[in-house]
Amino acid sequence: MKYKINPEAVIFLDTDALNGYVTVAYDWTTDDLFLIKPHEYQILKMIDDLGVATDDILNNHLGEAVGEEVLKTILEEFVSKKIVYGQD
Amino acid sequence: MDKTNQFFLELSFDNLRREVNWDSLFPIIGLPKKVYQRKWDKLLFGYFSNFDGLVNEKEIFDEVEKNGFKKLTNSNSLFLLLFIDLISGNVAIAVDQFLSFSCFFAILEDKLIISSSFGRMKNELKKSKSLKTDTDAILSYLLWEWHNAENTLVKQIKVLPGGSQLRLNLKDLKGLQVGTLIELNNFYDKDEGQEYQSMEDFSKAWLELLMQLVEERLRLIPDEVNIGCDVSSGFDCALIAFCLSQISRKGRFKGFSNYSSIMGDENNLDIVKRFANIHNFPLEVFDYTKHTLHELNPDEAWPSDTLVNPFVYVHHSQYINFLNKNDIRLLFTGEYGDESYDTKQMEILSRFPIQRSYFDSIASYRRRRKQELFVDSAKDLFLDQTRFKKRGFYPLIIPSKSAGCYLPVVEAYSNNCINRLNIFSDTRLLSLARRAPLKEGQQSFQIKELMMPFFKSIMPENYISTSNAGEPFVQLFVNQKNFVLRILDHSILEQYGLIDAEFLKKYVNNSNSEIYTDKSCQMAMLLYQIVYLDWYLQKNQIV
Repeated sequence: MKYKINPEAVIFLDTDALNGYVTVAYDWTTDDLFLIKPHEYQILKMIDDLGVATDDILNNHLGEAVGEEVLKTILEEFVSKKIVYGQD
Repeated sequence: MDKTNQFFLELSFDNLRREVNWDSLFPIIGLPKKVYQRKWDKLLFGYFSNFDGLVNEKEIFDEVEKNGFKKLTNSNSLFLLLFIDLISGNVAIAVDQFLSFSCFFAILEDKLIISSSFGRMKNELKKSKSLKTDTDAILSYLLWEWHNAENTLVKQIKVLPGGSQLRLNLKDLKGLQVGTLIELNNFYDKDEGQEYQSMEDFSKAWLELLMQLVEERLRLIPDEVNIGCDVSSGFDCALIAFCLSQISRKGRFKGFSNYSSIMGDENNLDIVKRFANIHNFPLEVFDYTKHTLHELNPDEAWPSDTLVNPFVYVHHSQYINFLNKNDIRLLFTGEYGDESYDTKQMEILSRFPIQRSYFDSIASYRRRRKQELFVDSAKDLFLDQTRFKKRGFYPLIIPSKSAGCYLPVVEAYSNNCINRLNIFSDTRLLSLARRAPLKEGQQSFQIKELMMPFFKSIMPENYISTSNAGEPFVQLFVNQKNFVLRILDHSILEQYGLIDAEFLKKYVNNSNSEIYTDKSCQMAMLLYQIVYLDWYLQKNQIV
């Protein structure tokens, strides 16, 4: 799967670091703000920095730190909430 | 009482040396109280009143000198204060977290000028500079996206955001810094209290607290100050009026209610009159139907010297004149009370104001069909992340949807010597709202509706209106079509690449367009906003 940030669901700010890399994303399926924790932030930021990221790349870089199963679950949730676009 | 609530100050290192009577530059406004304290070469002046006992008014000089304005900001105090070191030239200016003061500022040559009046600032700057627009402010205004920020429509004029302070040394004006003093953790980490088992118990606690908050303010108001209270057939203003009727001596305040016959069920004067009668307070009513019909030429009627906000003109300007004729100086209001009950995601919304603004803008651009009135290419300007990334971090505890309306409204009343007291902003009430006992399936926006049955004995007939107060906006296009077309002929917003004036003119000329047929009046309200802003930019030669 390839992942790309939905730019209308996340905005990265210089001040995110001061907030301990906690932010909010917009869940367009429920019209609610969705709290992003630091390890989730790390995933989103990596996808954003790369433009497009594959499962392999994300696993290689974050699999150990986040855990492969956790990473998979988080990505599924992001895709279902349209925070990132997923494409096979 | 002074005849104006406006203040205007010029601060330079040179005039600190002169014997300026700083105290005289701030008129008496009733509440908050005037402050003027001097110790050696340090000066604290402005306005300050505290309601929750967290800050002792007699000790504010020492508090500010030692610790700055943080404690004051994070209390339930209304204030605008300047702290000046006459020797070093260090200046600090702070405003409360409730946006109860509009405090505009600008650097002009070797001076810092500050004023409560946007028009006064604009006219001072205009003498020596051409005025430039602030793109972010323009785009936010057009999307009805309000945020607590420094920028105004005029690039050279800034405003002190709610709960922030400005610091600078008058010998080095470029070193001016503005930053928030609001400590969100201070509120959210300590936000505990009794849990309520039933909505009936919660409603009782709500009324008791509201009564206390009204009383805390009432007892600080000098006897010679005339007090008014907004009253309507709705819930919030009526509840404040009820509290006042219970704790003030007879005749201490007057109720005021305005009404336009074209505005559906917005306000029912018969119900308001019976309500005033039950609770035994004098009531003055004001019919502003004629005004809402837009029979006057807007070129002469629209204010060109205040902040831009069509709601202020349409729904407040005539009412303000009416209050003024009745010599009212302090006005209790429950306006924007709605937002205080709705605490859904309150903490997240407080902590992430920039992200929230960005998402609100996207939603607003899409959902209210705003994109239909703007050219396709404007989308990139509206939704570009860069303008959001440049914003300063100015969080608020009070709901920003209500705060969005504060500053233009505050300025409009203040220019006419009236200060409004928004009881529903008190953080103790916001804290209580977070503890409403909602059952599964109930949402916080329903709290008011769920409480209403328990206030039936106080407000037997009051109801939640379905009107969005939009009908008067349609009348501009019905009765002032030629004026609208003329403004669009010289559109500045078209020059900015935001609108297609020819397209909008056709839209205005088409009697079947949604301006005239949409019952929600949404399109008329949107287009009114565009025309009003365009007129304002043309009139003031802001480019």
